[in-house]
Amino acid sequence: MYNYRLKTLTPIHIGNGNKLSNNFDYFIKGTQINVISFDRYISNLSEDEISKLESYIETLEKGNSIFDLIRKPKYEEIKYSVILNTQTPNPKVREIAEHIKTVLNEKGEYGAYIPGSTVKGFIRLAIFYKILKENADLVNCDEDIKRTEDRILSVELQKQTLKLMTYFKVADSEPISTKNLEVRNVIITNNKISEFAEVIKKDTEIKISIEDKEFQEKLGKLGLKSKYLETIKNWKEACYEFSKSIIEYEKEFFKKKGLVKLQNFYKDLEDKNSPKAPLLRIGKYKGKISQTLVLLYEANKEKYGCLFEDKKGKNNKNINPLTKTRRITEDSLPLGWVKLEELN
Amino acid sequence: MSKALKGIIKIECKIRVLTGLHIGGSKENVEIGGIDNIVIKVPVLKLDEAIERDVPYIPGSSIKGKMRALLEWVEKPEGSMQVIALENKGEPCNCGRCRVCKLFGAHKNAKTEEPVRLRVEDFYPTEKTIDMWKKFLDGDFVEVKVENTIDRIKGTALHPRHQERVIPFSEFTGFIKIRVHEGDRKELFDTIIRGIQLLEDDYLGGSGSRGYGKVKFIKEKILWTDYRKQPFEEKTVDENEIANIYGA
Repeated sequence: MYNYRLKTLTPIHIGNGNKLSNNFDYFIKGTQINVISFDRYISNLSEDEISKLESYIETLEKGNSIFDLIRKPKYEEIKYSVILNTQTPNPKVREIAEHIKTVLNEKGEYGAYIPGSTVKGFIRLAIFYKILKENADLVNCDEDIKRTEDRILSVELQKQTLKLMTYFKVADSEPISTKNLEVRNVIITNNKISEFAEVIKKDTEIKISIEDKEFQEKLGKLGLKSKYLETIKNWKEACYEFSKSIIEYEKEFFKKKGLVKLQNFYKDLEDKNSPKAPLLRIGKYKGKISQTLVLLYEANKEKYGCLFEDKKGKNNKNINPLTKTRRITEDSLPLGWVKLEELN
Repeated sequence: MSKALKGIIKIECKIRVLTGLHIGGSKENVEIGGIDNIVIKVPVLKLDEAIERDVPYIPGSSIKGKMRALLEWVEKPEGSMQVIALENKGEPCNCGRCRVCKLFGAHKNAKTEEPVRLRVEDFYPTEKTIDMWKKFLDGDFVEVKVENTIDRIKGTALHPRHQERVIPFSEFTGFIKIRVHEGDRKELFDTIIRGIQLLEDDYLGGSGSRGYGKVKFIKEKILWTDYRKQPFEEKTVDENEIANIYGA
């Protein structure tokens, strides 16, 4: 089923929209964070323990843990455990952004995965970026950018509009054991603001299915006439070029900031990117330049600048859309870099 | 001219969900903070020793419809060089004579005399699957996936939505039934097997191009009921025996 492998070059966090709270979602023992099934915990409480719940509810706002006030969870009430990987001594971990998970096996254990939508989202953006970069005349500043994208990535066939990317299928990755997860402290480069997040560890390999052969066959069968079909067919090349632009920009950014370790990291990353096995940047904390077209502004302000104007603001028409901060791990790793390799 | 019914082949199958499955249902009430896109559920499901309520299932119509749509990309209408999907400009075939019409019915063609051969039952979860759901989902039967769209200019998340999905490793059981009429050829059975393969290579339900709905069909057994014998005789058959059923 799987025909590609994603290798994480840096930690990856893909959120499921939940924040785990130290009130009742987990308890920490040493460096181990045990995530609890609150339903199982509550259903196992004795009558005495249930009466303690009232006093717990009164102190909830103070950030106290239910497990300190009532009782520690039993083994069967733990959903999974992850290691807290931080350099901060005695960290106060009040909240953790949860990584997306599903079921790992028939036993009902938890497993992390990378949604197909996340990978497809980056590939689609890379294709769109390349088409716009090579065809600046397609930019229509009076048109919503989503409409421009839909217009470029669709063709008319027998009086119907066919969305080309519908035939490009990326399935959710295989689920992997929570042993491949850890909790990291994600910090901002220019100040001390930080947040804890579950991440897939660096150097983890995850299989995924990308059906590009069928995509190409179907495009051939339809005999579609779109000027941009070649760019779409060569989607790996588009990913390579988009990632190359991001890496070059980030290398310069960290050079200017004097952050040598990060600058060197991006120097090394350049060598890992190739048109056959491109790098992708996915998940949260990847930053604005990796999830928007803002690098087009950097490439040519005259041609693309109007896309980034604040059309509603009266005085802020020419705000620079490039961001000044980056999110990194405590040991100076940017998040979200993966290498995509075809399996033999 | 209608043809005598020789019997029915029943393929007892399990459908194993490989990636989150979303076959949309409908909501009676709009709830503030509720799920945007729920999956289809059967109100009551009776199991051996329990009754469960609001249980996800896979409608036979979803399987049959998707299988037909995929087959129409590879099958050709009678007398045509082009596949059905292109020949009919997106409309299902209604020639009444091709394999797809014989199996699935000639779409909107009231004049056809060919009986519809294919029946796909609704597929319901196994007890083992319901137990897994209860354990993994803390009593619920579905997971909820939050999705959004990223603004290409600002990088902000737009249109957040909640999607219910049936989790991987869930298994549903049911029957695919093929009526065998006098004069039918084994190629009709083979077309169904091809449809199953196409479905496994594609996806079931919604949002398949971005990860959802990979499934695997597991053939548990094949049963053949011969209506020409009195009393009717049902027996388990090997796939190699299918050619004998259709006969010369």
